Amino acid sequence: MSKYGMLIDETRCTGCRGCQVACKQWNDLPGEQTRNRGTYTNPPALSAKTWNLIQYTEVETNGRAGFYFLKHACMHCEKPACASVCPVGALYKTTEGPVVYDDTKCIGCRYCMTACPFSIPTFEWGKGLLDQALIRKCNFCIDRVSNGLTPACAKTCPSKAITFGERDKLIAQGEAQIRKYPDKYVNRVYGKDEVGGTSILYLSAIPFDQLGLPRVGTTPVTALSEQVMEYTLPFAGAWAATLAGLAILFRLRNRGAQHAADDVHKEKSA
Amino acid sequence: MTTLNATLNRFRISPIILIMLALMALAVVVALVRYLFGIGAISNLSDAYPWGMWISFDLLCGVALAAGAFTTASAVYIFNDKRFTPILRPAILTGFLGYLMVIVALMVDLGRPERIWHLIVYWNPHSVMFEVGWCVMLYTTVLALEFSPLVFERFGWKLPLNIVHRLTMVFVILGTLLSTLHQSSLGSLFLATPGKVSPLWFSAFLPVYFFLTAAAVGPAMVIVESFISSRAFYRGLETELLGTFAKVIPPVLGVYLLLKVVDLTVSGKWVYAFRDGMSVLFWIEIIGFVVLPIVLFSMPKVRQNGQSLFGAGLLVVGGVVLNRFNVSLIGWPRPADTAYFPSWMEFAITFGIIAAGVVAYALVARFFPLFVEDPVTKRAHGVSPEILRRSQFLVFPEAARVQAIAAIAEEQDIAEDQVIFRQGDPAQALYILLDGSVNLYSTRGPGATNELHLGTIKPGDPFGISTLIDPFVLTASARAATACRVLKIDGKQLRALGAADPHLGQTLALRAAQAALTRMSWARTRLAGAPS
Amino acid sequence: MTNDWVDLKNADAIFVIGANPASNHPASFTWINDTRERGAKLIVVDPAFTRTAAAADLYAPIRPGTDIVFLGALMSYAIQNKLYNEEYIKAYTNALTLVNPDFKGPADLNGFFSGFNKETSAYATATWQYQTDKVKVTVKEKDASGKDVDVEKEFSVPKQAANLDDAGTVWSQLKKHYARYTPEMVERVCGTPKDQFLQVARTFCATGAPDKSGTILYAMGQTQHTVGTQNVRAMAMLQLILGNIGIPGGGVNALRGESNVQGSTDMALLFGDLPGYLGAPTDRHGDFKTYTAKFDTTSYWVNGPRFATSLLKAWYGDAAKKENDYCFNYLPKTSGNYSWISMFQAMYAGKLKGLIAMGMNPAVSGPNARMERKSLEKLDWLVVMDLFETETAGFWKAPGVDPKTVNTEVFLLPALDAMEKEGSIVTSGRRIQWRPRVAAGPGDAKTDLAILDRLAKAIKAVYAGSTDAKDRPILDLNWLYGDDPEPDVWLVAREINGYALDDVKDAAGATLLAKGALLPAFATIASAANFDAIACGNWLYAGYFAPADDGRGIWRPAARRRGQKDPGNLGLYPYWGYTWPANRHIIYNRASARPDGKPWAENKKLIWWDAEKKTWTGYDVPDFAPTKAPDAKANPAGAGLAAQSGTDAFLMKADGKGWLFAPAGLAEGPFPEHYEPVESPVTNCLSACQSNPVVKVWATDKGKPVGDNIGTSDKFPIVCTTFRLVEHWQSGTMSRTLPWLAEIQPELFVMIGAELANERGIKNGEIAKIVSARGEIKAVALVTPRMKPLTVDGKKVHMVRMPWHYGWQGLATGDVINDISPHVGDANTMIPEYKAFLVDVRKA
Repeated sequence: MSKYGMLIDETRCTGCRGCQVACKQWNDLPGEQTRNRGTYTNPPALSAKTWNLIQYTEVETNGRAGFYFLKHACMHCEKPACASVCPVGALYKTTEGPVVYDDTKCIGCRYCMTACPFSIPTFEWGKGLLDQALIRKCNFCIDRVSNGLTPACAKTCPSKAITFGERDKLIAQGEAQIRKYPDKYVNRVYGKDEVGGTSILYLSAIPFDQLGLPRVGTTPVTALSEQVMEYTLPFAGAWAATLAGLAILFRLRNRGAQHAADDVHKEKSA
Repeated sequence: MTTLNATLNRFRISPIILIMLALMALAVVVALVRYLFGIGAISNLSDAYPWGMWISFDLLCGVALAAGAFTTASAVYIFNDKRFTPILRPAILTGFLGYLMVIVALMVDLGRPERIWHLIVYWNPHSVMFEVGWCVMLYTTVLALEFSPLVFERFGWKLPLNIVHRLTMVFVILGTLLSTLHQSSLGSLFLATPGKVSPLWFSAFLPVYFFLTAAAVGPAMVIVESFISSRAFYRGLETELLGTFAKVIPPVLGVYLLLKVVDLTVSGKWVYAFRDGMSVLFWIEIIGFVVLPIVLFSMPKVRQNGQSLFGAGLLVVGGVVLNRFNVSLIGWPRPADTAYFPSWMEFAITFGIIAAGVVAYALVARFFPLFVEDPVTKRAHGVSPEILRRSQFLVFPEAARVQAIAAIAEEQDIAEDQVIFRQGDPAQALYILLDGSVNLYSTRGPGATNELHLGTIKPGDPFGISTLIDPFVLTASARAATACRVLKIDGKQLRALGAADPHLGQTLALRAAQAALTRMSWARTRLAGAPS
Repeated sequence: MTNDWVDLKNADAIFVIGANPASNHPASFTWINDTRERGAKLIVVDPAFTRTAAAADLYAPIRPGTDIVFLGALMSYAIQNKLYNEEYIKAYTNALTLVNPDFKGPADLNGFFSGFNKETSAYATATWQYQTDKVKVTVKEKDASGKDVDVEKEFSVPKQAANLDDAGTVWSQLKKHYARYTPEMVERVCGTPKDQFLQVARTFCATGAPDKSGTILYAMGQTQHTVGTQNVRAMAMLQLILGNIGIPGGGVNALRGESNVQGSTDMALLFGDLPGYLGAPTDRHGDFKTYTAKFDTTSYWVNGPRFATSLLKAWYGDAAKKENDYCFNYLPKTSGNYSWISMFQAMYAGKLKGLIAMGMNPAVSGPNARMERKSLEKLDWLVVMDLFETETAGFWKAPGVDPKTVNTEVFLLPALDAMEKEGSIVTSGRRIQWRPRVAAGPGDAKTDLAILDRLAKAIKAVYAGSTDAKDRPILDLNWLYGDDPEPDVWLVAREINGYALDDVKDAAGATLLAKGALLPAFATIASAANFDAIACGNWLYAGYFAPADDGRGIWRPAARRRGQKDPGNLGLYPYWGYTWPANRHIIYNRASARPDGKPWAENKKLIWWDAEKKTWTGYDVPDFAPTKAPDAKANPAGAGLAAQSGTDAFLMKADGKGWLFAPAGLAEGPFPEHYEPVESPVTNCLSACQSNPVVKVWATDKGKPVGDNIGTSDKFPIVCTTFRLVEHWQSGTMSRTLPWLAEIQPELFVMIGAELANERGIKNGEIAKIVSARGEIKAVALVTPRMKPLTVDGKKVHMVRMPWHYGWQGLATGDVINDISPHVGDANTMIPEYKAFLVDVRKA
């Protein structure tokens, strides 16, 4: 069980993007060259230079407009797929909760990006051998958290949509909130069980998938692959033995066949 | 055996090789850009598409298509079926080169290729990629060892050859084990992406599917590759052998198909088979590339014909390629405003690597004893009927006639300046030039100055036509102008064929007469201009 | 703000009209969210479904420029449904006051009030006055020999009726005036569907109950209209009717556009004022006496002359003497309208030769900006003090301008950012916070203070030794900010706070303040016998820099306090900084108690009368004479607050009442009346008077490509309203140069409803052309369901919305939206009508 988490009450979010800018400021991330593409969401997606992004959703129901905001960043899963699939163990779950990245190990295979059920990790596509491309994603401001500070996004949120704290308490807080205002919220804390639980938890007024959070189920996405990996060594042993056995078997059979053929010859010649 | 230098001289650069070299050069330039300015500079990969064509094709298909090595090796050594020995070495070479190509592709696709060794140092046993990495490393080593006898034979290094021979069985078992592991693990890679792989393809059986399809594409790839190399190197196609080998495909694909049907039924996923573009791809894959090959390879007629074998084999290969793309790239949920199609530079890398593989194969085929004689049938003569197509002289619409001639033909390498036959000698064989150039000359006395150059034989042309014309005495001498390769058809047997099959004999005689007329006109021209 | 940001958490309903706090005042949502969780309703009325609307419990659309209809109908709804707080209205407003029987309103005069002069387009206000009663009072006066004698004197006081509905009362006039503002009229004029209006009305008017409070939040959506002042008045009247002024969670709250715009207004940034809202002298004020005669004598403004004196003492020190009118004649006197538009008109006409633009970017922010940039070309010189090369500093290289044709000499002085200098800022809640410098500035950049200090010292040096009388204002000017090249901002604070030039004594001769001491409060000026021994740069700020307890026994300059005690748990935080006036957080808070001095409700308790101690007490500093009993009678003969009774809660007003009817001070009339924007898609449904009759419409170069052109709805059928983004700061000078902000709002866009976009064949993300009578600009089309057409008077009216911030300099760029806004302004404040004008939208 991880210690820390963040509860994001999207009904309190006003889409001000204070968190988006604060993230860049604390993590020293550069601004990107962007265009207005007919939406407020900008940059268009998470990138190596943008680890936290507010996504705007306009939903029209019965002719009435709706405008919703999703703070989109690493979920810091309890059983992180990225950490599970990383062949060199560059990504790992800390005891404090954050899923962090050891950039000295990464080989750049990008399996973490492929495996992440939330498609969070990003890659420095524009860096060559000399400037050393790496995977980039939110690290829960581990440098702040481990020094007793709250993550930059939570610290800056003016509408108190982001609450930083112990995960267990946040879940309780979120559920209490839902009980208190059953009409206001979807009756579920997203992240409590998703993919085996995440450190980032969401409350929302509209279905989570409309908000932009994927339906991911409650089992960690890597449950199956990890199981397969567990069976691999025993299987390999058994398979090696089988192959050796087969080889011996067929050799013996062929030898028998050869003997039989020879016998026929002998008989004929005789 | 000729010296290496002579062999090198013999390896001439054909237009195809030139194209391959150009593709390689382009790939090197593109790779340079990638190493200087990043993957983003040459590819259309993005955070929405972290894996693209290089993973789907170069890695997933590359490894699967290299499965011929382990399937053939296990057929020969584990199932102890020595009939397949002639196709073993090419299959191992294809596999070995295939894995090297995969590794080269990974060196482009990996973000930090210079850290590839981290796989050895930093372990994450939960990661399928970790297993794949190790298996590929180990199996490439094993393939190198399996390939090593060619090198040792070529240079006559007895001791290592003996050691490797003794260990063959270990290598093969190890190779088959590693192949089983990582062929299936490439499927397991996608067990970690349950929400992303299209439901028609996602399954807990993905590793099994990947293994089965690899096991099926192994023989198919051997067939395809044998066919192509028989064309490329004018050697015989072991149609019968390959037909036998192909018998393994229908049961393997059948098991795959059955498993897939059961799987989709049990998991209730048939609904996905009738709703969108992915459904269409699914049916194309299943009907066109699984059911059809099963049917085709089950038909003896197909298995007995080189071209139909090749065609059916291509279907299996195509099926695996489509399958790997479907699993790993197509149909994944992505942000609405993103799209991916490989950039020309991505193609350049892939084509460059394939070109390198082709060139490497050609080099090995030329320099190393790749095609060994069939130990079972011990056929000393006989070439692939396909090679006969190289010359108009030997083209017959009837396959039987072609095969009959092919059976008495053999390929020969001729060193530069070697005299092939001399004027006045009995004409013992008809020659067809396959590659290189041969000068015909007449001798008016001893000494080179007395040689009268009559003409130059080009690839496809016959020479030694006196073999077909009574009294079967050669009217000119032939000398190799360059290192060349010829098709030599035994005169006696050819005449016997003609006698047995008058139509064949007549056709050959007519063609010989035509050729003789041409040669005579050459001779007239030369004589008119010659110093008297 | 009458209240404070944190006070929003005490509201039961929050009514946002003409503002978008979720976007532009994100911090407010800390408190808005909190109070919503308590069950309060957030109501948003806005042309677009904004981010605030997204958070709202109730949203109703409105056509820009029709707020008075909406607000008037709310008043009417509250009156007809008896949702008003009658006790409050009777005690604290002028509802019972009788108006001149000759007064006639728009209901009678087809849109006009009585007294309109067509020639001057101005009102004579005689008929707007109260009826008066003559009251005879015996006062003690000294006779010629100096003896006290009783003299009977006659005073006139506003005549009061007994009942609200008596003929001639303000209340009956109000009822009559707003009877025309029906829900149907709202639907017809504003385009707001009737049911949606009624939902808003029901929800917000419910705060008329004594134990409920509702707040109105507004911003430039209310002010930047030709009826901006009346918009604000209408909100204040609604709040008075509902008894929402002076109580926690109530008030009329202007969400200021910049962090320190309140401070700059307090310090008289506007042309018509002196610091502390004393009012700038005009050419009608020949001497100090004439000038000071303008202050009320029956309100707290009775102290106005004293405050003005202390200001002059601060500016001219010892040179300011009673004998020379405290150097009053040194002050420049205005001789007309010096507003933004007038200034640029003068510049355009070549009358204005030089301009110093300090943190101002008129090339982008001025209305009809192309014309204003043309005006800049006519200057001899232009000094720009800013952080970056703004569009104003580079106006000569604007798109389409040939620099060779511009002769203006431009000086760009690099200035420092707020974070790079020490000083105070004043929040919308009037809370003054002293902030330290937290970062060093780049290169030669200087604080504004340092630049002005150099300038002042240089000017003084030029005039040094002059004996010419006209140079005295410069020579006598106090400039006491240190001799170092870098002036001391604490010395500036000292002057603004006020200090004793000599020992200050009260009437009894007791020393109130020793010479040199900092002024603890403006009350000292009011009570001092020798008040001219006090220098005070802004009476409202008196005490803000004087040592004060931060609640933990730690004393430091009041504005530098960071004490977090919160008595009453109302979010007043009295030990944090210093809130003017007198650290009072909710003004007019006498009204938070019933006339008898008891709180309206336990949950709205703020201050109350402690009968035992005979004093007002509570959580806030009483905005009232602290020991005046609720039942104290007014003394018509008294000066200042003595002339007001124990229930006269609005002590800055001459009659102590909240004004439902404004007998003075407003150009358009005593009641807000709806007039269409100068550019409107429809004719006024309420009267024959189409637009504000007293608005000045210039016609310079009318008909030319660049000129004061006004468009009509046949050519320009779409209503355009400008707005601001959280990502950018006003004209974008500070934000469009920052990569982090440029990336999230990189370029100008226009919000277009899906229906209109479809009609015009414009797709989301394409470039659209927006054309008005002033010109044409291009912007990225943001096609959205958040903008919908309204049906106005049976006609479909489309609206588009454009952010205000872009120009051609910096990282995030775009056409200047104000190139197409009109050169017209409010009749009182002259604020330009940025919020409602006509355009057409086409595919580019």
